[in-house]
Amino acid sequence: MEERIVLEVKNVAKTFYVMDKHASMGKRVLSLINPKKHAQRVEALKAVNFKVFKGDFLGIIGENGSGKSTLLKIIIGYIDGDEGGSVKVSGRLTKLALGMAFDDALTARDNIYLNGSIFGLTFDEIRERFDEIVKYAEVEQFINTPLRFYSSGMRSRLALSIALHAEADIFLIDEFFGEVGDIGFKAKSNNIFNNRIANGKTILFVSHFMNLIEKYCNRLLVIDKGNGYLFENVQEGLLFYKNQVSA
Amino acid sequence: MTDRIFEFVERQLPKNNRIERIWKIAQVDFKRRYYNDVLGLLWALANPLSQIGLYYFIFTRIFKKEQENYVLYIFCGIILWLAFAEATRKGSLILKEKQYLMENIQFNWVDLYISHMLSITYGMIFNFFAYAIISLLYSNSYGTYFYLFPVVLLTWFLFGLAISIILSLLRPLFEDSFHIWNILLNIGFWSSGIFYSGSYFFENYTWFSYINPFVGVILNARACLLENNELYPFWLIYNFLFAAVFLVVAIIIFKKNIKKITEKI
Repeated sequence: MEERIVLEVKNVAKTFYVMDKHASMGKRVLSLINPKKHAQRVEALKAVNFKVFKGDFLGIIGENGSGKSTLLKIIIGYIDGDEGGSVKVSGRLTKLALGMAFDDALTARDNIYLNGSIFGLTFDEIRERFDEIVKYAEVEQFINTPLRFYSSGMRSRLALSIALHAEADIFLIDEFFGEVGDIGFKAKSNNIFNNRIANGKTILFVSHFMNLIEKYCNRLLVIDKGNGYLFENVQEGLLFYKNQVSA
Repeated sequence: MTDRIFEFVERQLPKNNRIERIWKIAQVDFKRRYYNDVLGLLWALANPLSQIGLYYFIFTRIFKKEQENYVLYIFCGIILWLAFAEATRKGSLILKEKQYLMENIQFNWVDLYISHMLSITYGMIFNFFAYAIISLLYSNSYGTYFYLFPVVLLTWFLFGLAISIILSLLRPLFEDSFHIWNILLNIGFWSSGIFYSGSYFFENYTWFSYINPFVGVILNARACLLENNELYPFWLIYNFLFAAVFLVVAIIIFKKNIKKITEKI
C-alpha cells in the first residue's frame, strides 16, 4: 500500500450554538448577534485526529449522536470545525449517497445523466457506461419511463448502479448499501463493489454493522462522545467499541 | 423539440465535468418546472402573456396611453422583470433545496446559482421567441442596437445571480427577508419603467437609476429590440459594471459566511 496521505484531520472539534426556538424575540435576536453568549452550547466533537493513506479502507463506528455525521460534514466541507483544527484533502471526495439527486418527474435516462455528472463523470464517460449502468440495474425496458412509475426495488437498483459507477479519489460511504434487491442482485452488487470501489480506492466507511467493518476495513476510527480513537488493528477497535457501548 | 435543442447544445459543451454538471442541473430544474403539466412549456408563456394582455387593456383603454407598438413595449420590460422576480424568489431557497448536493459532493457551490439562473434564462429565451413572433405580426423590425442585446442580457444575468446569492444567505437566518424582498419587487415592478419610459428617472431622480439597474436595463433592451428607441450608452456600461461588481461582492460575502449559514439549515 502506498503511504501517501490523502486525508489529514488535525484537532478537529465542533461546538454548536443552538438557538431556543421558544425563546423571546429579544433573546433570539441576541443569540443571532452573539451566539456564544446567548445560545445553548453543544459540543459535538472534541479534537479528533487521524490520517488516511491512499488505498485505505477506514471504518468509522460510533453510537448514534456520537459525532460521526458532524465529522463527515466537516470532512466534506459542508460545515467548518472550530478554530484551531484543520482538514486537508488531496483529490476529489464524494459521498456515495444513493439516489441523491433522483427526480421522479424525469426519466431514468435523465436521472442517470444528472446523477452521473454529480458523481464526477463527464457526459462522454456516462455514455460509455450507460449500457452497463442500465443492464446492471435491470431496467433496460424502462429507460425512457419517468421514475415515478418505478417500483422501489427498481429505483434502488438504479441508484446503486449509478453510485457503483461513480468517480472520485476518496469515497465516503455512510451505511452502505449492499442490501438492495434479491439474493442474486445482492451477490452481483457485492461483486461489483469489490471490483470497482473496494479495489484500490480510498474509502471512509461509516457503519453500525461490525461484520461489514471486519470484512472490508484495514483500520478503524471509533467515535465516542465526540472523541476519536484510531486503531490500526480493526479487531482491537471493535473490542474497544463494544466495551464503550456496554459500559 | 426542447429536448432536441438541449441535446444539440449539450454536444457543443466543452468536455468538462463542472460545465456539464452546471448545464445538467439547470436543464433538469427547467424540465421539472414544466414537464409534469399537460401544456408543459406553454405555461412559461402563459404568465407573461396574461399580464401583458391585462396591462395593455388597462393602459390603452382605460388610461388612453398612446404609444407605438405598446404591446411590444410592455413585453420587453415584463419578460425581463418577471424572469428576474422568479429568479430571485426561487434563488432565495437554493441552499435549502440543494442541501442534499452540498452535503454529499465537493464542488464550488456558486455553480448551483449559475445553474439556477441558467434554468430561468431558458424560460426567458422561450418568451423572447414569443416576442419575436408577435413582433413579426406588428411588422416591427428590430432596433438599431440589436447587436448589444447580449450585453443587456448578461447584465440581467449577473444582477439576478448576485441578488439570488445574497437572498439565499439571508433567508435561513431571517425568514422575513423573503417578505421584505417581495415588497421591494413590487416597488421595482412599478418604478423600473415597464409601462412608461424610465428616462423620467434619469432626468428627475438620477440617484434612483443608480441603485435600480432595471431602469437602464429595460430602456436599453427596448433600444435593442424595438424600432425608434433611444440607446443610453452610459447606463449600458454603468449597469453592466454595477452588476459585475455587485456579483463579486456577493461572492465574497458568500464565501466568507456560507459555512456559518449551512450550520443553521
